[in-house]
Amino acid sequence: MIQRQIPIFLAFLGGAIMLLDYFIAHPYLAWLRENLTNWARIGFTFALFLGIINLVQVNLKKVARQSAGWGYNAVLLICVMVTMGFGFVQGPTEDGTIYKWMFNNIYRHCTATMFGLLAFFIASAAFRAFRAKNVEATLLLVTAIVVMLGNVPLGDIFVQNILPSAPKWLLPSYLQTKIMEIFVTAGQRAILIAAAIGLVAVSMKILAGIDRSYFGGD
Amino acid sequence: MIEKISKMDRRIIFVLITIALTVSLIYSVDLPIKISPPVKTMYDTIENIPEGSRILFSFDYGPSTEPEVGGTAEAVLRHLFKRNIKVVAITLWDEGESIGDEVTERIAKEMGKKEEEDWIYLGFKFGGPTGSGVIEPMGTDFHKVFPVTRKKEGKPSKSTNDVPILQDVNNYDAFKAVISFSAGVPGIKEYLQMANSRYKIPVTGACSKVTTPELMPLLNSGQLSGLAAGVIGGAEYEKLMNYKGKAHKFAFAQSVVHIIIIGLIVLGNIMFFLSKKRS
Repeated sequence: MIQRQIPIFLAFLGGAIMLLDYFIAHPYLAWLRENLTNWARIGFTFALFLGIINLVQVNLKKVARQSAGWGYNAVLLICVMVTMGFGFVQGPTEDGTIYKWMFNNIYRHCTATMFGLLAFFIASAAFRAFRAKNVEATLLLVTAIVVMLGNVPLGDIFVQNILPSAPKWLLPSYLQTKIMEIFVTAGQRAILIAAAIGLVAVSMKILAGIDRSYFGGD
Repeated sequence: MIEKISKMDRRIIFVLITIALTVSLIYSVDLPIKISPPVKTMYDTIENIPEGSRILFSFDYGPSTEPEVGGTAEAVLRHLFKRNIKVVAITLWDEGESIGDEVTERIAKEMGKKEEEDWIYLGFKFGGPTGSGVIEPMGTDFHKVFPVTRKKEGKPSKSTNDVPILQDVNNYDAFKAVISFSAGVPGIKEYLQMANSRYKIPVTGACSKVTTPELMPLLNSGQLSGLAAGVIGGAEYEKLMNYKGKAHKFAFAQSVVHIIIIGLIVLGNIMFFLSKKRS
């Protein structure tokens, strides 16, 4: 019984300190908040460390068993070890180090490439999957086309070439602005308010010890 | 024929996009850029900052979103230096660490600004998933969050109390605004939630186009003092600054690809309706 009560009390205490600090400007509360934040940072780092151990374990097993595609697992393990090794020895933010070189010349470009690939897959998916199969899909499709055209300067030029005397309200840029200002804002406001209320409810349940999901589902 | 087109190999689409992007990036065309109200508001917010003041500049993006937000960051930096506004730059994204360093140093050198007097880049500080470990404490004790400057090659780190530009910086009161260039979390929204709502510091910035919808309510309510969204927002800001940079070049390429994607959607639907009519 006491094993459960202590973590619940600590969760309540931590949450209460953070909440009180927001409303009461007191140096002791600020000091407590600062230390709790530092402890959380250390906790995150340990969680990251556990993630790396898990990654190594999973990939090492596949390499040992020579499962299908084990070469990629081996490459991943080598990359993790080499990057971590240089990072620990030379420091992650030091200029002129191999770690920094790898980050600037390998990681940055790989990340940019991965994101850039999205353009190709979106184009392919748009051709295959965006179908006006029913009223809702047609509405979504038309809105998507208007927003896409309105987001780029070529959109207005395109419409004005087809309809030289097009009124302002027919231009994609104007329609896109109105869609964002009216419909998107309204929808996002509803989502924001609902999410905030939900977050307050869940937080109060955690602080009060009703929600104990951090125990691991018990 | 209809079935052949409907089931077109996607590699044809990939090649089409590749050719379109390559040609449009090499042979860029100047498009007429219309200035939108959110970008004008952002520009005016910076224009109204008194000369000699200090602002907090946050590089909250990584290499994947650098093409979208990077152009705007450079344009805004140029604007700030042109107006002799002092820049204290940080980043809440580990991926943005070297991007922030490279961009601030390059633009400052171009504009003839002196490090530690006119600008400083303090690097990355881990603030947790929402940046709360950095954004919130900066409101009470800035030097505790950034006690030392960033170590650089040939330049050891030193106490931020010894840096001229940071001498009388204690909290957000020392800054006239926070300008965040964000592509996700932590970013503009977190600065609004923690810095603007609690410490009342104006927040403005740029974001990737995908994150614009969630910032629209904050923009319309006036909490966010202007927003430059995506590559087009950057091109608009460059137009206000009377120069053509990265954003202008990427705006044309983006326009071409958008038209191609719309064309593919229309073609796909035409084939869909024709095959439906046949069956």
